[in-house]
Amino acid sequence: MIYKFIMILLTLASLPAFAASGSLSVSPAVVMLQGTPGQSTTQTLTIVNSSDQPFSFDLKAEDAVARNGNRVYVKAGELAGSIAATAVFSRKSVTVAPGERTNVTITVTIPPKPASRAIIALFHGTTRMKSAGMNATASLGTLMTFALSDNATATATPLSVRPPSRTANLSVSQQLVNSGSEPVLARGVLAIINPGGTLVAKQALPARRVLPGETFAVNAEYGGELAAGHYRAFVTYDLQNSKSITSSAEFDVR
Amino acid sequence: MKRFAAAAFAILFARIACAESVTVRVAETVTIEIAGTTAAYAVDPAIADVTTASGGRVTITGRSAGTTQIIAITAGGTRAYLVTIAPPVAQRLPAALATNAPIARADVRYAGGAHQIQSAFDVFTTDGERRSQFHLLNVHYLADSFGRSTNAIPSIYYRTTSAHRELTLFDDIIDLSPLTVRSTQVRGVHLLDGPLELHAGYAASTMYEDLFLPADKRWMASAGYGIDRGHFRWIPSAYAFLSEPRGTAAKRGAVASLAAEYRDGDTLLARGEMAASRGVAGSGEVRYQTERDQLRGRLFYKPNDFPTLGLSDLPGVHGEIDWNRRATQRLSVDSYATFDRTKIAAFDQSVAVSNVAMRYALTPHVSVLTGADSSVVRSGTNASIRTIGIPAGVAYDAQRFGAAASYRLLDNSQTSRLGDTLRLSGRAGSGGFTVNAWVERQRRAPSLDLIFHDTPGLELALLRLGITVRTPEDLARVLRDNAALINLGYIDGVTVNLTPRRVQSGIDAAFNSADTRNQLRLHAVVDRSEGVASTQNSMLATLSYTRRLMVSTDIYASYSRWRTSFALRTVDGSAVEAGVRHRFDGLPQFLQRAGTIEGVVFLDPQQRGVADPTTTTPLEGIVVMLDDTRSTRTEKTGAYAFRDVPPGRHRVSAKAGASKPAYFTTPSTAELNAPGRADFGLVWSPARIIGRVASDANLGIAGAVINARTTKGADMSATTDSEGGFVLAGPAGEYTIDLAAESLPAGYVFRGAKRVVNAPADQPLTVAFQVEALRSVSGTVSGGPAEIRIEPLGLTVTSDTAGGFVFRSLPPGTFTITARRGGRVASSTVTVPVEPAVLNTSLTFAETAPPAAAAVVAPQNVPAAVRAFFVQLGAFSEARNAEQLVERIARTGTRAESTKTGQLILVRVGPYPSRAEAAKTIAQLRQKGFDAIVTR
Repeated sequence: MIYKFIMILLTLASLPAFAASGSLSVSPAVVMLQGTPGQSTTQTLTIVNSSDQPFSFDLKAEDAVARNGNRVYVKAGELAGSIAATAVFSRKSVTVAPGERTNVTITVTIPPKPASRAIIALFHGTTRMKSAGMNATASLGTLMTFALSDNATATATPLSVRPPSRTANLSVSQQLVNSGSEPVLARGVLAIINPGGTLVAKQALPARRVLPGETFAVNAEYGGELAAGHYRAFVTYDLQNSKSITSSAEFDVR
Repeated sequence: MKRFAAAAFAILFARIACAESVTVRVAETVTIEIAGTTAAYAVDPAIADVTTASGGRVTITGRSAGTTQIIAITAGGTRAYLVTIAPPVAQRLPAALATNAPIARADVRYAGGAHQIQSAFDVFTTDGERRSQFHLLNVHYLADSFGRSTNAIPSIYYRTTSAHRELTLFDDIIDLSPLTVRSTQVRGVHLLDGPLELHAGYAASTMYEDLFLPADKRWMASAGYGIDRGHFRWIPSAYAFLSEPRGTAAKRGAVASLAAEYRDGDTLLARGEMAASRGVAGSGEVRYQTERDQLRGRLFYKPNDFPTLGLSDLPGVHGEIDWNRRATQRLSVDSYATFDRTKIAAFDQSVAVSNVAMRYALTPHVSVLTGADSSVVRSGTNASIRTIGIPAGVAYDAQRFGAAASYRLLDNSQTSRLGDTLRLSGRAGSGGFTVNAWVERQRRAPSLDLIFHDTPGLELALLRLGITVRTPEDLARVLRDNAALINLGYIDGVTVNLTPRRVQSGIDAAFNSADTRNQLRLHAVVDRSEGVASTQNSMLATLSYTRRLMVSTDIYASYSRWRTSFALRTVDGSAVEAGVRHRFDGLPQFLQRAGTIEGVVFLDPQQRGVADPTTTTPLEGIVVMLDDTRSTRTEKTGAYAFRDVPPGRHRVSAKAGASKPAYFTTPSTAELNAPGRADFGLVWSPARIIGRVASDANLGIAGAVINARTTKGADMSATTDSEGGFVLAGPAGEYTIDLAAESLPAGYVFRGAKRVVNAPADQPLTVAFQVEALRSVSGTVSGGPAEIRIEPLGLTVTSDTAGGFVFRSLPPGTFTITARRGGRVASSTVTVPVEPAVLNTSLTFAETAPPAAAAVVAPQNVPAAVRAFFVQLGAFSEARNAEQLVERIARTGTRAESTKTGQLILVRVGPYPSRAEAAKTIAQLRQKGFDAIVTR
């Protein structure tokens, strides 16, 4: 019988149930950096083992890029100008005892022509455990983003609005693409303007971290009621560096 | 029921906007005008909020530090504003402190009343964890002089403090124990080193007497050592009091003491001490603090002839307890009691004071007060004077205004008539202006007066310092906080009078300008005591002004006026003080200690981040920058140095050269103090050869070894992973790469040749190797040689005399192997896997009778109304071929017939009543490798 070893990429938000009770976590989850080519940065990553068994990890870095709008991870050095290829960890591997925490530093240097704007510093699990009847390993990572210029921009598809009805809330949707060359942390808001031009509703949209070329879907609902009339919906995303993108659409409520 | 329906809508395209900018502080608002604005919103309301008003006015309120976008909606579209919320104005701290640069402060003051010019100079420096402070206070006497000098240095010290040690040269205020040395300035050497505490030097009644060596020096030395055991700390100490100046309260001698402290976090501290010398002294202290309770208590006893410096501590019995309790949300209780029994020379006093005050909050602004207090004062052998008071009052407190009124009924043992005290107070504040005022009227209240030794001006000087004794509480405070006045013999005793009527009033007013550059204060107290035979009036008023001239320079001035009259004697006077205070952010150059920042830049191929002669090599010619203003290059040894760097925090950064790609194994930037050291490690960016070894079926081959050799003869190798992938990293250049065939798993061969590739730095190169899996099918066919064919590959071999055959180098897939001999056919199906495989099969011709003439079935007479369906497998002109097909079909278990129609002989199966039935048979025959059609 051949056992299949499945690598499960864990995030801080969700952890599968291990045969060992408890959890693993890495902090910080995200590091946002600004710099120029040639600069290096050293960050300290902390892994905490709150479970009841020891876990071992190999340290590695991978470049995070967008392909066809989706984020993919590429092994260090496979891309020309790979940032992950310059990663120097203070340790090649760590073993974290139950209830303990361990610090690891990573030093990365931004190449002259970096191929990506983000890397993931990965704690690649080497301890096998049972999960849902299968052998599995657990890996966790920290996303490090690098902004090298102010060229943060985005493009968006037209805003689609579904007016509220008896059986459904007002919903808006569109696709946003980071068409610039830098990663952005986009914070958004949905605003509803009534026929008189007054703001009648406002709702924060989840912040999204978007790499160059990456696409994300904006889907939001407004749960309040609107009186019958003609309205305009505005969705604004703040791209930082004094740039924002605003889309709007008109709709009627009857 | 309301019904909502979808409607047509117009779509406006998204717009990227670069925002104009606005800056606001936290909790501040700014209004801007944007013509035509009907609505506005903030992207992150946690940072800033926005409201709109008519006329296009948009008000932005800062919530928390950060930046966000404000979108204003106008008739013409939207406008974006970048809003930056700055943090609130922090307390003014010298910027130099944040950067560890030294700062200095100079203060020069003219004191008109004392006819002195006082100069103070302070320097603070920080070097990492070590802090240093130098302080000098110099007094120049304009009218008086002591000894031969018109100058004195009342205070001077140099102190260095690090994590576990503090060393002070010259003056330090020592507060070790109420039994030995208490809040006394000692000039000498003072060391705190972990649990060890050492002091040696002298104290004096005043350091103002001479330039450096006051006449009345009282030498002392002490040593103490703290021993921690769990929650307890034991402190054995030894003291030596070496001086006993004549006419002072100082007493020579040695003291041994043992103190014990118990701590329970921040809640409880209990301390007890026993000291032995000439007699035994003891003290105890307790501090207890919770959310509801705050308790402080102290008690100590010291015999009169116990060794002492004779300055800030008094012999006798002294105790005090202070307890505040927040009983409920509205009710709080404050109580305290003190007891002092002191007999020194002519000063023989016993004072006991107790007080309980309860405050109940009727509303958040209004509270009522009541309680009880008592005091007992006895001077010498005179009878005690006992006073009991019952107060009651009401207070109103709001943010800008407050007022209080209290009435206290007094019962005094000196009179049969009750006395009382009425006090009214109020406060108000608006903008930069605040005022506190109070007036108090006492009737038949006991009034204490200090009996001063014959020292002209002392009473007035104490009055100006706020040291007055009118009540038993005042006396207890003087005994506690100003024991030196008694030790030095300035105060001989206290008299207690019963004042028929006494009125006191006071005012404290202050004004601070909005820009905090100007500050004006007024303090005034008026006292009128109407005795039986005479009336005493006193007034003291001080007006002071401070102005900030520049960022680091303040000037200040004050004018004091006082007047006191008793019987026919009147004393009045005035004094002027003026001064200037300047702060230096950084010392003058000649006072600063410049340093060198240096280090090495090294090649770190093992990426350890540490310069190691065995594993790293120095790098020459690397540019290193200091504060982005100075630059240098490393020498052959890899070393660099910046000299004459001012003290403080600096930024050093190394630049990787552009000629050869490299990256850092240490941070490329270091922040450090001068002098300091920063090393930088670099490694050249390697060339990377990335590839895969896979079989002809695209299956990754694990464990294969790739060897690479550079033109310089350096060898390196890599082993493929489970997916056949490999990475080689090395210096840029030409490589000869080869797959080690012997490393391949069994069943694979590599027929390729070595390759020569050129791998540039930082440009990954992809190389692929394909290996062949050995797949073969061998077998035998019965009866000797035959023609063997494998389909659909279309390969044909001839078996040997024994019937053996083999097909090699097969791709994966399913194949049919057919043997033919003499019109006879034998076949089998084999499935070749993707992995290497050696398969075996055998073919056997079936035993059959000599072929008979095929039974040709004449077409049946089928009624015209019923035309049957047939499955036709072939149509031949030669009967022999039709026979062979019939035999082949028969071997599969299906019976077929030959039917002659015209010139053709049809090979068919059937009849079937329907096309569907016929189609089923066709499907079955196809699985056996026969093609057929449906005919009628």
